Amino acid sequence: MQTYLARRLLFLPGLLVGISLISFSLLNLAPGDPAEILLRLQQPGAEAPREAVLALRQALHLDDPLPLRYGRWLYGAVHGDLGTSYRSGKSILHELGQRLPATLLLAVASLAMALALSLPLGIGAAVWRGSPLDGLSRCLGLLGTSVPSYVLALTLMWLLAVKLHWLPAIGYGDPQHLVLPALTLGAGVSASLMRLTRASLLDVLAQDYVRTARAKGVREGTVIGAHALKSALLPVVTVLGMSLGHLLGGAVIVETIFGWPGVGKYAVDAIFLRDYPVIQGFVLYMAVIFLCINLAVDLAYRWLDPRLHFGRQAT
Amino acid sequence: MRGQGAVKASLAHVRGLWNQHALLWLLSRLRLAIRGPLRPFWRDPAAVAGLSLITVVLMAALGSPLLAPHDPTAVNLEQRLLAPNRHFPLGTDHLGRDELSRLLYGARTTLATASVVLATVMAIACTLGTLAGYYGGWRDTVIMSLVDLLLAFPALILAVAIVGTLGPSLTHAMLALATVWWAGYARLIRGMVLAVRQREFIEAARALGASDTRIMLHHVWRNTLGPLMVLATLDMGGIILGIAGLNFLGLGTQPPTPEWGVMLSDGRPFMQSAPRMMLYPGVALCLVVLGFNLLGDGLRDALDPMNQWTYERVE
Amino acid sequence: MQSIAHIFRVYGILAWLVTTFLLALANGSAAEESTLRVGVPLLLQPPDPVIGGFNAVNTGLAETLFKLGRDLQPEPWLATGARRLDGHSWELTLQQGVQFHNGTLMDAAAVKASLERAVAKSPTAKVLLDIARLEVKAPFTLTITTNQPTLLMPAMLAEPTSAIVDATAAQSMGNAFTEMPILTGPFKIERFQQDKEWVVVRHKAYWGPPPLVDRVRFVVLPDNISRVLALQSGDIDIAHYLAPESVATVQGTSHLAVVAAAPVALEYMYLNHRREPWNDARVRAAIALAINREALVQGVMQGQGTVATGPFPSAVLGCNQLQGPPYDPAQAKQLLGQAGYQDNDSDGFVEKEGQMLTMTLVTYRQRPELVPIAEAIQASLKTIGIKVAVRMVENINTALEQRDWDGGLYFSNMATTGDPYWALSQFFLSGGPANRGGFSSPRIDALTHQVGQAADRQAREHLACAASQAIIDEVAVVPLLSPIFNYGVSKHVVGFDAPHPFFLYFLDSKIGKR
Repeated sequence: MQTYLARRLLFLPGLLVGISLISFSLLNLAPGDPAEILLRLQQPGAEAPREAVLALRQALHLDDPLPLRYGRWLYGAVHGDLGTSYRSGKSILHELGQRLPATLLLAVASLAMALALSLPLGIGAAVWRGSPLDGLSRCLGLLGTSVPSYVLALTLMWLLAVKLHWLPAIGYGDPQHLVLPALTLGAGVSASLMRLTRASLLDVLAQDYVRTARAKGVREGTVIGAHALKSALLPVVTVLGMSLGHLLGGAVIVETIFGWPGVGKYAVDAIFLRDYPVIQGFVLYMAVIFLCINLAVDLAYRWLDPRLHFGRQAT
Repeated sequence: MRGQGAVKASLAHVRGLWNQHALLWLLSRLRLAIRGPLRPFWRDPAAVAGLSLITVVLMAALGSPLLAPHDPTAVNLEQRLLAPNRHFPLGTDHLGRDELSRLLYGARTTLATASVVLATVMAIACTLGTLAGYYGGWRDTVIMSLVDLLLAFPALILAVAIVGTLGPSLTHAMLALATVWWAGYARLIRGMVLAVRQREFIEAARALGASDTRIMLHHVWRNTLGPLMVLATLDMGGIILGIAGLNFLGLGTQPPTPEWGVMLSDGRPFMQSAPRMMLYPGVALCLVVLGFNLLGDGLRDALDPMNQWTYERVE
Repeated sequence: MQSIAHIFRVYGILAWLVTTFLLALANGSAAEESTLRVGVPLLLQPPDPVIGGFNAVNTGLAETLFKLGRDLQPEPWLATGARRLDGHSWELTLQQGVQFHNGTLMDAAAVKASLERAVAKSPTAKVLLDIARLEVKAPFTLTITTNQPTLLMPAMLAEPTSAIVDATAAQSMGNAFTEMPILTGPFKIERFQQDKEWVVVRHKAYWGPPPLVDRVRFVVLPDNISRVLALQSGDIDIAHYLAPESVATVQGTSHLAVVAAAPVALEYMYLNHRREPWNDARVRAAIALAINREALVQGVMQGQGTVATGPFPSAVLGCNQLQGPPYDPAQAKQLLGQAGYQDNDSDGFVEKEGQMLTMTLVTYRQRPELVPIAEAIQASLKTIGIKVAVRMVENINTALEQRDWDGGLYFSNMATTGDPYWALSQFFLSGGPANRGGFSSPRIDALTHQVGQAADRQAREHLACAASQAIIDEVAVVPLLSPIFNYGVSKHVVGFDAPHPFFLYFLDSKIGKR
């Protein structure tokens, strides 16, 4: 176990450098001049004088050779300085840090809602297979994966905020502001979680050791709760991990519609505005998150089912 | 001279026999498939419903030049936003174009785009996944690292980055989606290849001297074709929604091509004044995705009742 | 089995409890009475004027020496007057009794320091103000000497990035100044969170009429629909920029109203004069005749705009008797025929020497109405036999620089500096930086220079109108329409019935909340 962990951690810096190098090169191949875009931002619809564009290019070191710029960035990154955003001039680490709580809150709330919706329905559908509950869960699951997220978001906003006045349409700060965005995101995740839980539990319930337990006279509740669920939840854990990773990368559409100040919209804005340092910083952030979550999921697997082993498959 | 003619004649005779034989072989396979492993499929009403839905949509798409009453791109500002009437069975959109015709032609574009993306994804994933699984070693490490990288990144942001830098167009959107989607499949195929590789008859075949490629093509693929088909069917819905998501951000299909995702996002400003503009493509999308999901579920229930083929992409 | 059912029952009760609790929370939230909440689509930059000048003025924080009045002519603001001393020098007299947000008095020395900072940090200010030397003549008198002679100093001093800041405070605060700048406006910054919101509070020692509200909160809602929904649900009081389709919805809601600002922007089509056949005046004239501008305004903009005859909206430059091309497709086809384009193979499109007449029309999504306009133009030009392919691009300026386009739809704010010379020299002068189609006409060049030399306003306007007519006749660009800028306003808001046409000057002291 220790050697496995050590090996994984050893690969980490190399992987991060590789990722950042690829993204840096790709960014600079892309068309679009950040200086010109920035100046046009200052007065929407007005023209940026050519000399002003050239002056800003110089100030931002945009015309320096690529390896030099990458080297400069890497040096800063290693010392914990991700550089400053072209757009605001502020430290990117600081800006990411400002937006992370909002994204974290939304991610956790969405997953909590998704679990709350999907686990009971999925388990119920598996336990009482063929019942109306099964049909309902299949229905909801299919609907949830069939609707684009912005349609769901706008419909919920219109229904719950405008027509019924139950919840505020937009905003951030109080618990009720969290409900609509979390519901939208949670619905999408819960649909697939529901189907996965049902399928996984069905699979486990058909196993021999479950039959044995039943034959021995163990109560059905204990069979399902204590024995079957633990192994059935393995794939659910993987999917949860992946969903968490993606949600921590920000849910762009939901953030745009509900005005939620998260990381996703920050990244997409940076892409459109060619704010290179921000995009670099975001890529690095995502890489770190992914690698951590991957590790956590693998460890969780190990804890849940010691029979699994790691490393190269035996040939 | 006569010898040549005789050779040609006998060749033709053999070819004729071969054609006959091939056709018979194909038919017998089909019959076996329908009667044999797919028998539970035909008994499942949901699965059959899914197949019927898809067939209807497919026929509508193929027959759209005949079925559509008007030219889907004919702009006529005088008759914009008309309610459904005798001349325009579903009404007109904000530029006076017939909604029914746009819906029918949109089926073509939507299905065609999704199919192309899926085919590309399959091609890349099959090649890379098989390479990684069969040979192992450095090929495996490199390909799987790439896969991990792609799976880590939130799909929408990566797609936005690709289309945002290359410029909005349908081809770029398809490219972006294919790039984002192949990773999950590759990992899956690699897993299956690994599993099959360990079976004895591979050893036996190798002992008999068959070449590596032959083994891969024949034995490994024949066993992965089933699960691939199922997952591809299930993923068509996801790809269609992915295109719709890109269209929300204005990065996909170019006007005036009718496409359901574009029609959905065109209808957004009219959400309160003319909600049917969103309703038609929304319901159509829902039904198609639902159909594919039901079909895929049915196939999986029939071919893989033990649910051994788990899948990882969620969003 | 029973235990499972029992678990489900408990779960159901818990879920019901949580929902009720959340709903109670929602209904129990107290409204913030004297805070005006404004929903805006963008708030991309911090309030320091040299970085986000537009935002700083737009949100009532910053003021410039001169502002553009409702007729878009420069008016005194922080300066009371400007006197031209000679070709290169202007003498400015400043407002007295102006206090910065930190209580410091604004005097000529402070203004000098502020302008020097603006010129050092804002490339736009440097180019526009073109300052060679600043001299303090008296406590409230300042002399500006420019490198090039200019007649337009007051108009240039309306540039938002040159807004007056407390430069000493900027120096001592360092980076913190970017988010909490010390300015002179009726409001001062309380809280700033980029892309999310910013909150401004009343500046008690403001030199002008005191603001009616204590606090204004700008909330960023980029999606047009969610901004309207937020207005309808009461979560915001004013919504900036209503899309044309939402206007009817807001008008139909009983507790809301639509307030319109006179249009100062222009939506038009660039033509690439460097490419055949757009350098042929007859083909250009044909295009101008084939587009039904009235239908565009009524159909695409739902009536929320005015037809544009010339390059200047009437609020910016009022010309009498500007003659624009009528909507006449038959005449257009004739002109194409004269230029040698006929439909010989009856496919609906015209050719010349076997080459079909095609056009690549680029547009961009940041201005949503340009996309249906492009589609409508595509259909219009099809009726005279031109095959148009619409291409959406991510960055319109880059695309137009790349030269492989024929037509380009564009949105421009023609009220910048309020003076027609600025727009003429940028867009229509040969080699002008915004002359993206490569248009060149000696007549228009001569007229533009004359406008630049004209000393009095009437002469300038007269000459500018002549230049406008020339632009229309030679089809330098194809003007389409001027979109109306609409605000959605809740009935609780007072003092906001006739907004300034230039939405730069959105927030002033007069807006209040019941």
